[in-house]
Amino acid sequence: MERWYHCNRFSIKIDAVSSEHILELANLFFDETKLTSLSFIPEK
Amino acid sequence: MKEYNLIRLDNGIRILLHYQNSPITHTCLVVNAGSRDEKVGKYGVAHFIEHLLFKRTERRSTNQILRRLEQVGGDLNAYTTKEYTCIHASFLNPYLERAMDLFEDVLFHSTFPQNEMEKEKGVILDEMASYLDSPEESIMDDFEDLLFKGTGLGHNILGTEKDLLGLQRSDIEDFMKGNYDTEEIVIAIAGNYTLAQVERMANRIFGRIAPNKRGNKERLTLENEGQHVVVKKPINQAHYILGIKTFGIYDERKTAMLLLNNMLGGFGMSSILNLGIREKYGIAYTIESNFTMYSDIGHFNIYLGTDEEKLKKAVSLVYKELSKLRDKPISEYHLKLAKQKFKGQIALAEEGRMSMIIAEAKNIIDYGEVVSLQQVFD
Repeated sequence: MERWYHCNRFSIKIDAVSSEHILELANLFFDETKLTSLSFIPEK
Repeated sequence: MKEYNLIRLDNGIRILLHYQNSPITHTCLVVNAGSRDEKVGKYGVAHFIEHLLFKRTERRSTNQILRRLEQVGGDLNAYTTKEYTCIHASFLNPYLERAMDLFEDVLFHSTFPQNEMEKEKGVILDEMASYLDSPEESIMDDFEDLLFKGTGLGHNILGTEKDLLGLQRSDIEDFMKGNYDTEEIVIAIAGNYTLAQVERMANRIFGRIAPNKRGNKERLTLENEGQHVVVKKPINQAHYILGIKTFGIYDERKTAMLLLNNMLGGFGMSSILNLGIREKYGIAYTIESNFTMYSDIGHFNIYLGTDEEKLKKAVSLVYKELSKLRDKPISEYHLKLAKQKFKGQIALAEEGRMSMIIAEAKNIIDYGEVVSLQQVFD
């Protein structure tokens, strides 16, 4: 899969990202009760 | 010579010139309309149009369209996303006018003959079938369908077989009239030209196009309700995707989210997921994370493919890694390393000049300006 990072330009500078920002996002989006999953399993 | 120049024609069409001292030109035309703009019952029309643009125009046959740039060694192609449609071309510098004239012809003067429409439906049906043979690809789209069910983002770009077979010329015309807003068409050129040259060419070729306005776009709100779906398929290994809806391109937290995604499961073999699961336990040939942003919403996901017997273990390890990130801030040292890696990857990606110019055209549509690499870094 090609990843075109420059398709996602930046609203704040990369250097301004702090470990608190990362922690806040992890708590916002890695909540087990809100995550959705899809599995493709081989037929027997 | 300014690096970037933006021209706006009276009909609203904008032309971005990114000056580059090269004998080769990369150019694209981006229309801010894609599969999420399709009406129920007409799924697949945006992509169908993209296929038909190279078929016949008022003054050119299919062969003439296909030969126009290829006979000077150039390359012409197009693709459709959920939010935009793009035609792009690369060629030696003397042929910019030829390419611009071709873009204008296929976008505004295609005739969509019935026999070509029927032939192309067959091609797209084959495209759908080949896609179903790639579960690692189709699970991504099925996951978006699940997350965004009932919205414009909740159906595949290729459409459905039933809708595709029912599409008529009037559906194409309705879609283009309703969505091809001239204020939201950007032509971007990366090449060795003066502003005056491009201005003259753009006015002559695109200046005569009548302005067109679109209706309101769909706007989605961020709500997440976890759900877990298992589908049995005639495949040999298990494919699994876990994710959540996020904010879209205008949220100021997106840089941090891109960095987090890159650390967790981004490009390369040294991501947290790859080292912590594949390398440590020998589970999952592929494990990666993705962060996709649309204009109003986005989604983050982790994908892995593994033997069915190893799936449970792999999933528990994924949850464990997520839990670590939730519970404790990453160290300043690891954050510094992550930024260094991410910046280097962004800089390397700029080397792909075609994808760069398409991204810049999208920047103009989304933000009204181009953000250069230097601005991102300084």
